[in-house]
Amino acid sequence: MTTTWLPEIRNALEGIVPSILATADVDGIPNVSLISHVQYVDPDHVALSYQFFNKTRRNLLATRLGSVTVVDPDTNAQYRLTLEYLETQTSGPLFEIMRAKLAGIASHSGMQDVFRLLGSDVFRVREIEPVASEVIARPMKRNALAAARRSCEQFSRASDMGELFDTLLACLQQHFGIEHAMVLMLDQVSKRLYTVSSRGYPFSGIGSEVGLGDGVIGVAAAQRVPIRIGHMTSQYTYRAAVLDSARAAGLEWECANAIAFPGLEAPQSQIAVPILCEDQTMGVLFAESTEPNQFGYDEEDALTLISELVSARVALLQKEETAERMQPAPSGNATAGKAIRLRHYRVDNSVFVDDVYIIRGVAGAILWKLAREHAQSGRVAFTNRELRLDPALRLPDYIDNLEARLLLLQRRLSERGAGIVIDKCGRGRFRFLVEGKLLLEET
Amino acid sequence: MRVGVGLGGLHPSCDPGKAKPNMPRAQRPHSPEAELAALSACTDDLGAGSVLSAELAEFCQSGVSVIIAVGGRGNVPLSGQGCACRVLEDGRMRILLLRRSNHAIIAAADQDAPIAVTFSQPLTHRSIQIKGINPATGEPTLSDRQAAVEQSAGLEQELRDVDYARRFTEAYCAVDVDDLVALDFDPVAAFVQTPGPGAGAELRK
Repeated sequence: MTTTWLPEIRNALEGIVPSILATADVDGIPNVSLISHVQYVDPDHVALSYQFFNKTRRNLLATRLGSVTVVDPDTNAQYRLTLEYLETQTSGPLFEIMRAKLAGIASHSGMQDVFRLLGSDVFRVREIEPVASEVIARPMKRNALAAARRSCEQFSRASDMGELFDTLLACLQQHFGIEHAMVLMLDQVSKRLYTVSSRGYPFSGIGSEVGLGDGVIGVAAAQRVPIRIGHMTSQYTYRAAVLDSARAAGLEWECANAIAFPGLEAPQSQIAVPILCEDQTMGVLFAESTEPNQFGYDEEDALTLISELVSARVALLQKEETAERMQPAPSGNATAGKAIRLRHYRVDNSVFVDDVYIIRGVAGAILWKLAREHAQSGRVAFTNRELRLDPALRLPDYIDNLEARLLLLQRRLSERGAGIVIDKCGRGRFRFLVEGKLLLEET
Repeated sequence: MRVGVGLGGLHPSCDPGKAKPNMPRAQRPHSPEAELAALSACTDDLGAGSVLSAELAEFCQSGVSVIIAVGGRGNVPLSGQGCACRVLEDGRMRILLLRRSNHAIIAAADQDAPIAVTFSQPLTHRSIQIKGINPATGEPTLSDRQAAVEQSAGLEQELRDVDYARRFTEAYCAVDVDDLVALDFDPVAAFVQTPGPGAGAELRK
């Protein structure tokens, strides 16, 4: 007899077809209800959403036993799982994964005012029994593992972080068919994520921000786990996320939203995968679609693998850069031509060029430092290393994301046509080129 | 036949060419309060021992999802699905289910295990649970077979209306009339199980 292994039936644990949950009280009186989804936790465990204190819950707490029948929405294969209740989690990664998924299911089924996750009930799977059903052929689907491999092969050719992120998003389109995606990096100081690369949108949104904990992107970054939703839900849209941020943002609000987020207006599917460095969030890979249920367990696995490799590649690029010796800093003479007015606000390090918002935070502080030195001495050549060592910039000691901040700054200046160019001229070195004369103001 | 109610959405790979409407389903979902209010307003004389109004009996036989639980060995509950329901003249209820999918449930019923059946409508989420005792299994009649075919077809149409792909609903709701078993029981209580405040309340006059 072949034993069914839980990871093999994960497709039946997507919540696309609801599951049947049977429980019994201490006298053996059964109870049966439909449940929105069974969440795969690991090869031995699943979790159910606890939404109401009802008969099912009373039975589970009393007898700790349940039987759930799940259905594969692609093949109609069905399985009966015997479950043993272990614990309820009311916060943390599993809870947030399930809360996001439930929000999508609730919204799609018209129950957004009714379904609310109170806890994630974790169960040990004692037995999996296949249930006879009319099984149909599984539709042809992209092989996510092969797509991940082809993508990873291309990453090694990227020579800097900007090229790496652009390659990553191109690979998602080419190998996974993902048309809308972006990379955001976390600013450890401001606890906000900023977009450094995007693909498939009418505008790039480079520099747009998402707060830690806001929307699928912010939750994935905060919890350090992939978050995905299979249906449109207003609860997790960017609009809802920025409104949440607005409540606490105060003065920062205007700048935080001065750059429009490029995301889809009404995504049906969303997935956010954290890019981790030694278990700490460095950034987030985000993808979305206008079609529902585009990102399953396999896509989640593949994008997680890819993010791991991207993280390692970023670390390698930074290491190579740091190892380079500091070069002498020659002066330039580009102080002629039109006047370019830079205004710096100390309160949040925001910088405006000719009244156009460019950047804020650490990237803003870097721009201000470069501009001052250039204005004072005509200096053009700089190194990443000296920025890293400058205490005034207050870069965090751990995962400083300096290269990502420079990439962000470089792309923002380029997009806005500010007359200022950051030109990389080797690993860990760049030139600060100004097409005119800088006039600096500080507020 | 496999029956069930869908809260989730169409999986794209079920029918790649099918357009996917963005309208949420159950725009006017049913509610427990509505169920309880309807019962209060009901003028039916349910009679001694009866738990179903005529309207509820009709709902259970209207081609909705039929899901089952019985107490299994060692008091471990068992979950399963039925194809259809009939309310018999003597007040007993009959669930028609496929033998090949429900061996354990049928065996437990033959051991006099108590039973619970929930009827749920995909379009509205309206759900009613019936508790039953004195189960007995037997061969289905010709009328039972017809009911199984008709009610399964009704459920399949509902599932398609809520956006499941045809290739899935056809498999999910397929009926092999030669594999049907009739599971009869005495209904002893009915509960409203539509999600929302008031869910779980007993339905009685």
